[in-house]
Formats: sequence, C-alpha cells, structure tokens
Amino acid sequence: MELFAASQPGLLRMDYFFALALGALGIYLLLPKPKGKTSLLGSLAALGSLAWLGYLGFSPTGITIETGLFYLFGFFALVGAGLMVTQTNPARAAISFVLVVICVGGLMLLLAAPFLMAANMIVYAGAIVVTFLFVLMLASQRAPSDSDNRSREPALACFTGLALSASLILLLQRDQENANKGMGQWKGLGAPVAAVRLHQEENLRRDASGRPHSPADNTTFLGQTLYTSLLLPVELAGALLLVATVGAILIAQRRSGVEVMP
Amino acid sequence: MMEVIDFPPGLTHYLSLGALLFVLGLVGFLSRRNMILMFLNAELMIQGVALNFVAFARHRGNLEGQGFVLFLLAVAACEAAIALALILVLYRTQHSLDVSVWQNLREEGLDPTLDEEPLPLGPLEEKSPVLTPAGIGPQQPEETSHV
Repeated sequence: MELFAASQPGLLRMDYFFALALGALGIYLLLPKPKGKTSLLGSLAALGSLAWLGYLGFSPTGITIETGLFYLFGFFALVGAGLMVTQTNPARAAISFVLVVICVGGLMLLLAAPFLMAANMIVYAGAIVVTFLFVLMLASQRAPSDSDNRSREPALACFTGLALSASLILLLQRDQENANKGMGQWKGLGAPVAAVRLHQEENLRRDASGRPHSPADNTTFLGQTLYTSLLLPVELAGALLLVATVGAILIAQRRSGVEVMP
Repeated sequence: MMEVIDFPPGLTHYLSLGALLFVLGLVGFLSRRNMILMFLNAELMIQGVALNFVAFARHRGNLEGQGFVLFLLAVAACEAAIALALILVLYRTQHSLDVSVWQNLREEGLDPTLDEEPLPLGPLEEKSPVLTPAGIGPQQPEETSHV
C-alpha cells in the first residue's frame, strides 16, 4: 500500500487502456495457432491500436521534423516487433528483428547518440542475428512443427502484456500531465524535456575552454566517460566477454566420439 | 525553473515506446515455443531497455546512460553466445527446438501439458517455380529470299 500512498493524484485516462487492449487483442489473434490464425482481423486490430496510441500521444503544438521522424521510426519499430512475435517462420522473425534494430538505431540518432546507433546495428544486425540465422539453418524444419505453429497460452501471455503495458503507460502519461500542469513531485520525469535539452546540449558541445565541439564528438565524450567514471565496469565487461566466449566454445563442443584434430 | 514546453517526442514518448517494445518482447517470450525465437524476444526486450537508457541520457544531459547501453550490448552478446551454444546442445539431444519437450524439468507433481489440437497437415513444401524450357528456339517460318 506504500506504493499507492506515494503516488500522486491525477487522472488515469482509460482511452490509453482501451487502445492497449485493442493491441493485445490483435497480438492474440495473430499468434500462431494450429487452426491457422486470423491474420486480417488481427493485423487490423494491431494497426488500429498503433494509430490510436499515436493519436493519443500526439499534441499539435510544436511540431518539428523530430516529431515526424519519431513517429516514423516508432511505427516501424513496433510493427517489426509485432511481426517478430507473431511470425511462424523463425527466419522471417529474425529479419523483422533487424527492422526493429534499424528503427531503434534511428531513434538513438534522434536522441543524439550516433555512436550507439552504429554499435547497436553492428552488434545486433551484424553479429547476433547472423548467428541466430546460422543456428536456424542447422535446425531447420520443413513441416509444421510444435515449436513454430503452436503458442503456449497465448491468451494469458497477451493478458500479462496488457497488464504490464497499461500500468507503465498510464503512469507515464499521468506523470506527464501532472508535470504539464506544474504539479507532481517527480519533476525529473515530467519536466519539460525541450527546455532542459537545449541548455544541456550546449554544455555537451563545448569543451572546458568553452569552444564548441561538432555534434559528432559524441564518440569522444563517450570514450572519456567510459575511461574515467566507468573504468571498472569496462574491465568487468571485457572479462565477462572472455568468459562467455570460452564458455560458449566449451558448451557447444561435441563431447561424444573421437576427437579429430585437423 | 524553466518554462513548460512539451515537444511531442519528449521523454515520456521515448519511455512509452521503450515500454511497448519491452512488453512485445515479453509477450513473445511467454508465448512462443521455439527456443531461438524466445531468445530473440529477450533481445527485443533489451532493445526497449536500451532505448530507455538513451532517452534518460539525453534528458539528463550526461553520457552515463549511453555508456550503460554499451555494457548492455556486451551482456547481450554474451547472452546470445551462451544461449545459442545451449540451444545447439539441446537440439542435438532431442532434435527439436520446441521448449515443451523439456517439460520433465518442471517441479515434481505437475502434470505435463499436452497439445490437443492436431497440427495442420498442409503441404508446407512450397512449389518451386516452373520456368519455361529453354534451349530450343520457337519455330520460325522459313526464310525465303528472292535474290
């Protein structure tokens, strides 16, 4: 009860909930089932929910190019994620995941993180998805199989997703509205991003002597952060990668039979 | 305090988008039965979290959040390597990617879940496209000359 007592007063808007429920219904209809899925109705519901959510989150004041790009990348990221969750063909699901990664990369670019965009795409689209595709090739199945054409408790899974997403998004939206009204204790979350953003970006773009950097200096700053305040985690991450590499090789080794060294 | 300006893609928008990606990954992880797809869905959840970190880094105007995403990438790469190695071993023993063949790992006293609906028997073998045979030219009327 402490949690509820600490929360601020404010209006929880139910239209967000209904939009999310429509999306959950769409995902439920689209999840693979042995009887065949109702693709048309499900995709209509999912796309309708996306459009509704976009409309609810849209405010006509201060439209910039950033707004358009955010909606573009966000739309395709969510569509790719939905496709990935509902595809019966795992290879196509992996390709949809690449679409998600590319769109998240675009969003990172909007958030002034060009280095992370590149790193994210190289690591995910370049390495992880390719490895996934290799394993899929090793274990490909032609006929309809239990693993691809069945879902485990799709209704319960969609309900869980609806509960989590509704609680997250309703709370976020209420905090935003409270901050817009100038009330609420959690100023850090709902505080006007744009005003803070311009000010702090100016600080980021200048070095100690006050000379402005180019925006592409994000990598320099990131490197400075990594090797000053985050030095210990960097070493730990390196150790973790080494251990994981050795472990993966050991696990995937064939133990039975005679070992033949080439 | 600064004045209230709310540009549409504010922090809340990015956080909501990250939450939706996370939830989609969660739904996929809970409901799909292909082990590879389950881990792909876990990666989708990580993407949503990474978006949150970058949005907060931008909002706070420092780079700790972006640095954290790099560690997230490192952990995700480790996770993918170990998970794929384990999936390979599991596939070699049971020749199936379905997680439900490992139901005997459940705690004792739980009945196994059985699939009742039969799978479609449809011919999943897609037909290869048939090309028109090449090599023999179509018949032409004989050429005549009047030289």
